[in-house]
Amino acid sequence: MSLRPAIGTVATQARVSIRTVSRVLNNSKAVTAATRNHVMGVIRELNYSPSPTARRLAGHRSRLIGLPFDGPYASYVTDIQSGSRSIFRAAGYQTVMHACDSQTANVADEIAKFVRSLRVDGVILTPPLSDLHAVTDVLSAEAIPFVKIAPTARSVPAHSVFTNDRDACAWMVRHLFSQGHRRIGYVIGHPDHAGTAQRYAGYCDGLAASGLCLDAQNVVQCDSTFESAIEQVQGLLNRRSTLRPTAIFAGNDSMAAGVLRLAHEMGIAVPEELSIAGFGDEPLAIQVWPRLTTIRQPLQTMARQAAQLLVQQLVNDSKSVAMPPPLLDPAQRVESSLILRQSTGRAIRRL
Amino acid sequence: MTNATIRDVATQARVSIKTVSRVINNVKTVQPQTRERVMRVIRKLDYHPNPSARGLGGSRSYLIGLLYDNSCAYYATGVLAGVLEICREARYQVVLHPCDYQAPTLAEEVTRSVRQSRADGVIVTPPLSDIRSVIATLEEQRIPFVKIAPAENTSDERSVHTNDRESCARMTEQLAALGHKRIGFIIGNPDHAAVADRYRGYRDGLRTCGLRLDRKLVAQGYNSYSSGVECGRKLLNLPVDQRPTAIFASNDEMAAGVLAVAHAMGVTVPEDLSVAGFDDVPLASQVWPALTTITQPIPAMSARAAELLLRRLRGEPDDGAARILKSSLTFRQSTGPARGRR
Repeated sequence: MSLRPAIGTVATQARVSIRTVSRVLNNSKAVTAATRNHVMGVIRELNYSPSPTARRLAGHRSRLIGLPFDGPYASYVTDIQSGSRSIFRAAGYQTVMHACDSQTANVADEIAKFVRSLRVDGVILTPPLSDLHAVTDVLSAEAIPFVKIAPTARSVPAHSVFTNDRDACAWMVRHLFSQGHRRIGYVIGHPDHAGTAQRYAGYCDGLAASGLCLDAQNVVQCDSTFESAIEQVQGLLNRRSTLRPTAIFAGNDSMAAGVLRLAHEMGIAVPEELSIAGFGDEPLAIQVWPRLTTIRQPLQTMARQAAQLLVQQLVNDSKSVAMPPPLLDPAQRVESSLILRQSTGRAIRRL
Repeated sequence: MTNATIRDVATQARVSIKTVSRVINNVKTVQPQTRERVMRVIRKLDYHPNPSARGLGGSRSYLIGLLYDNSCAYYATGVLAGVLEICREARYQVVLHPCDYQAPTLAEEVTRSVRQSRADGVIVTPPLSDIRSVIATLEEQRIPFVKIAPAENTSDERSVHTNDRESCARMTEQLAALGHKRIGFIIGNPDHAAVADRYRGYRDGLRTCGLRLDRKLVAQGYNSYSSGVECGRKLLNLPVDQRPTAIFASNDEMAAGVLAVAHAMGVTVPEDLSVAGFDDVPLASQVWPALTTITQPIPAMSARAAELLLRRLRGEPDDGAARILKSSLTFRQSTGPARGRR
């Protein structure tokens, strides 16, 4: 990580005194417009921001909450935004989005730049950023309070909200088993995506709990997209009907919708000949036909709790507030639930 | 409600205006206790320094606000993609301002949240871009803005559009060319003015093809999937000889609702019924059969809106590039020739 430029560096580069830089920063009127513009240009160029501690002592708050997110997760972030909205609003905060790419090496630097330049008061981290130590280290170094949503590493549960993905997936498999299914296929999402590993582990748990063996032939690797399921699952459905799974469980709703589309195209009746289940309960789940059985991930509830946890930290930071905040456990668990719809049913016996 | 002035703050805090100004500008010559007291009054009175005066001081926040209705969060996601791309290059950040377009205090809320975030300018998405009080308050507060797809004023330099009406006429003509004589239509939410334009386009198309407008074949939807299901039921429950052989819905969600009703009633798509939508959201290609639709260039429109706004903020003249970005027809499996024409 790059070193924070000092006010002296700004002054030298701008060929003015430190005092002038300070005046510009504090909006003092004793500076001409031309000097101000010149100094501001250097400040931006050097990416300088006053030390967060000093800023905090001065009581300078931006009342902005940073919401950095990984590119492909935009709709996830809109959900986080809706869930956290009322809490942040009541506390007088607004959220600023920042798109970044979790795969690049300097993602932590980029987030550091973002929080510094806007002087955000706190940050909400969504998956997969919530799993990156480099990012949380940078925020700790900047003394910026943060809350993680759905981190997979639970070793440090403080300031995080997570859900029971793994248990919920095991329940889904046991539910399918109870409906008479013995060959239950699984569609794995993108290996780098948040939750992929936990969900697959839950599928394995569910098989074991039902006394079924894991058959690698019934497991298909995809990349979380609708299109990948169309391409990769075809082989599974092309098998002779006595070998074909009678139920397919996909790691997200988009892939489940892909399997559903394939079934329609191949003339396989759902749920009579094939049950299909997804994960997420995205809007898509009820917009396809038949509607998808899925696992509802309480994203908005998680976002709400994350916002509460963050506001709690921010309030504890400032001594000016007399009202004692209702204390929340710093690690919050929100339960997922099974949503049974028309895409799953009893297995038919094929001998 | 009138806005608190610096004078009100000074009176209540029992200090001079100069002291309030020092507190706001973080000048160090103020006692901590005085600062505390003034800050309390500022919060209590919800006082914000005058944004235009602040603008004169040359302080920019490098923040762009995105105003959207909370019920259109998915549309906002599409808009966000285009806006973020432009802002990233220009090193601006995006603040989200979700609001409720039906709230009676909408205009005040918009002002409050834009001022509070110190955004340099805002992008206004539909249906907010059609709400007069919102536009009026932005003008009054001198907050620079660009509107996406407002109903009229295609000549307004502060707006970006697509050709809703024209492309809907083309779609209707295409359905007629496939031999459809009874083409049903599902109107969108009347509060979304650009969506209402789609209905006009449908009627234009009927006229061009010499087909008569039959009110029985037109249903009022509200843009949601469930309203599409309701309208689909209404249209498909007509006696078979009066039932539409094609249904064109003002958006993809409603078209997906029609598909579900057709499946449930055993009406085969596209053999017995052609279905078309508008927007080309991911859903359109994920339902079965995949939807014929009109591809709206949402990311391009929003990128263009962001460009226009940044130019305004920099005081640069408009580069004269198009502010109307054309939509295109996308044919997939949900439409086909009318029975008797195959």
